[in-house]
Amino acid sequence: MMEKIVLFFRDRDAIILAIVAIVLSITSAKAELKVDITRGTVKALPVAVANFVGTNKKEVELGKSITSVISSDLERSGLFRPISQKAFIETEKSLDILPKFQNWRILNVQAMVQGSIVILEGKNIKVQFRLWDVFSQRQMVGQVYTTVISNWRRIAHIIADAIYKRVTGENGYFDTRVVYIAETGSQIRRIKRLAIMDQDSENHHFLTDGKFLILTPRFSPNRQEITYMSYHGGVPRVYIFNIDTGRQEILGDFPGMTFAPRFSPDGNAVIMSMARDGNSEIYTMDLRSRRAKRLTRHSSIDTSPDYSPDGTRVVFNSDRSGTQQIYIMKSDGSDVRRITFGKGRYATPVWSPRGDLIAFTKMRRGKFFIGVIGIDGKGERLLTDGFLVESPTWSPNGRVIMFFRETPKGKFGDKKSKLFSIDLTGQNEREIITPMDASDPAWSPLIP
Amino acid sequence: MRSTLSISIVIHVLVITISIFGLPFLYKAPAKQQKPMVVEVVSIGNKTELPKPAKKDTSKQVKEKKENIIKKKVKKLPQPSIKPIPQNKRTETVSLRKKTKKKTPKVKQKKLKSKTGFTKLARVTPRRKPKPPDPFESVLRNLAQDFDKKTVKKVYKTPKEDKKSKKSDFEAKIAKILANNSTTESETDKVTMTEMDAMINTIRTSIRPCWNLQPGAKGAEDIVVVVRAYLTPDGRVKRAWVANRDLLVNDPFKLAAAETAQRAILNEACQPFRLDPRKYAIWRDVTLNFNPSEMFGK
Repeated sequence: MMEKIVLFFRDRDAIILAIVAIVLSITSAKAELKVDITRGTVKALPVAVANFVGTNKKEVELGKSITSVISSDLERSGLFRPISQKAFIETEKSLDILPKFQNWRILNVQAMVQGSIVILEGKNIKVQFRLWDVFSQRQMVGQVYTTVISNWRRIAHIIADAIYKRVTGENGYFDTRVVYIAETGSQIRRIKRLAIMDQDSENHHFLTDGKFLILTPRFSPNRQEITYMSYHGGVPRVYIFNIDTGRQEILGDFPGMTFAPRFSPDGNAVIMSMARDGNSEIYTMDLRSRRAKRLTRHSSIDTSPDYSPDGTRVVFNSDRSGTQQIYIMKSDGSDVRRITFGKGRYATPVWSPRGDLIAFTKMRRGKFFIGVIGIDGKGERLLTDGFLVESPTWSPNGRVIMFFRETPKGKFGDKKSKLFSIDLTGQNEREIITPMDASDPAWSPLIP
Repeated sequence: MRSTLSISIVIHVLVITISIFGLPFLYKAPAKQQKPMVVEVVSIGNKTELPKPAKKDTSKQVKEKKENIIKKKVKKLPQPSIKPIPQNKRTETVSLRKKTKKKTPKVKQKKLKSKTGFTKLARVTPRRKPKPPDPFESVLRNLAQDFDKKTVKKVYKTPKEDKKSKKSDFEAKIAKILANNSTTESETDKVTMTEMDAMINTIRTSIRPCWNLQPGAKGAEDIVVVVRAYLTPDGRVKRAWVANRDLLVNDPFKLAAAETAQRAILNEACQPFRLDPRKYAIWRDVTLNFNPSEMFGK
């Protein structure tokens, strides 16, 4: 046999033939078909969230509750479309068993969530979940959490955040809270109380009793403190409220009225406006030294300041050009430049946590708008409008804007004020359920 | 004298007759035009008259029954001839052709006999013969088959016939390799630009509804994802992977965009791609560039 092979290769003709064949096979390699896809659709991602499994009745019930919270969070974002569990072909199975992806593909499910719960000794629970990419049949993320059983709702939000982050690439915002002004009573004797709740309207409770008017609450970066303007003592002043202790503290002793406060990104300072002799300027106050620093010096009204996420710049609105417009300056007050030049008046600018956009309220021809604009003044987009839409606040991932919408007075002089959220794209506008009228929302950062 | 007189008389008579009746039309073209008119009138007349005598004679009735049976068969013939086109090539079509050739002329011959001497009918009937389209198709099919046979035979006959000398054998082998290679190349060369555009458009329009973008994501308009896919002959995606994954994997936004693009191509709801299976070699491997910049007005 070997002799034959040797003889074959000794044959010159055979070698030439082989070379020709190889060369031709290389040269005949075909170019691939190249297709440019430049257009797609914008639809919610179909996702299946299977009930988290447990070994006993209590675990099963808790699993259902956690699944429900995750599913609601994802659905509310507008980026996910949870499939009804009634359509499921597969039943809940242990995490150790690989899902039958074909059964999910039939339902056109693109991502699938499964998990399990174990109640440990001492009122602790161990929750684990896996997120599967149904098409590529790969696990996208899998995590285990151990906490006290009373924290089950937070665990559900954290899992929803992990799913959101893995699928969209940006941080979630479900494990967050919202502070707002709860309004009750007639228009003449309106009672405004500071209230706080989870972003899904759960765990609602009041922080103040409503004896004093409170406006423009803002979270501190550590979520433990809230700064706002209150008419405590008859003079409008900026206060800091500690959520844990319930203590309220006045911020500085200024001769004039202080308002529109916001924390700096590091939480060590508060930026605000102070009005004196008919003029309003922007100040910062170091919370450790309690020393104030004036940033603007202009005869016009400068107000509504907000820091950029990196703390190097400040956005504010001013009527120094004759109409109310948005300006940006360095955090030391220098290099002031105007960024809005559109028709109408601009107010309440809020810098996006992502740093690329600024949300604002716009007033034009008797109508209010909520919009966004690039920090270079380009790409202005108006997301929603109404009789009165105001006070935009960003979700911590910079994807969603919350605001309040007030309807005009009815026959009996009553008007409604409700919270709404809208996606950055202008889609998915939803009402945030509150037990009573609501205004001035402020979205908390993510809990570290 | 008499002879000259007689000649002159004859000539005069001829001149007078010609002057009265005119010269004969030797190239009378209208005669040809009249023929088909006559034929048509006669044929219609015979057809309309045929049923009347048929009722009287029992022998003719039997003949008619036979004719009806034959006619029915003739009518049915075109129906089965449609079926074999995609399925069987030779056997059924040949048999059908034989039937049509044998039976249809018989019918007409019998008709001619019964009509007693209307020979012009014979000119009408041939015009009806080319009706069945099947023979024409079979001819095409046969030509294609013959062509294939010839090309195959040409390639393989030469080495068999020239086995005697080594040089010719070597040349034949080279020719064989080149021939095999040239056949594959010729298949690809057959794809025109319009065909290529059609393939690209088919894939593009199919994937478009399944590419679920996230326009709100930071920098979404600048993320370009390259996905390579291997397709099966029925136009479905067998395998797809992100070709530039290394560039995207470190950024969660880009990774999400890459996986979104991969899901678009793997989504069975947008498959199969309706592509020409004969051009499978062209669209078997596909590279897809997912570039959303156009959607953002860039």
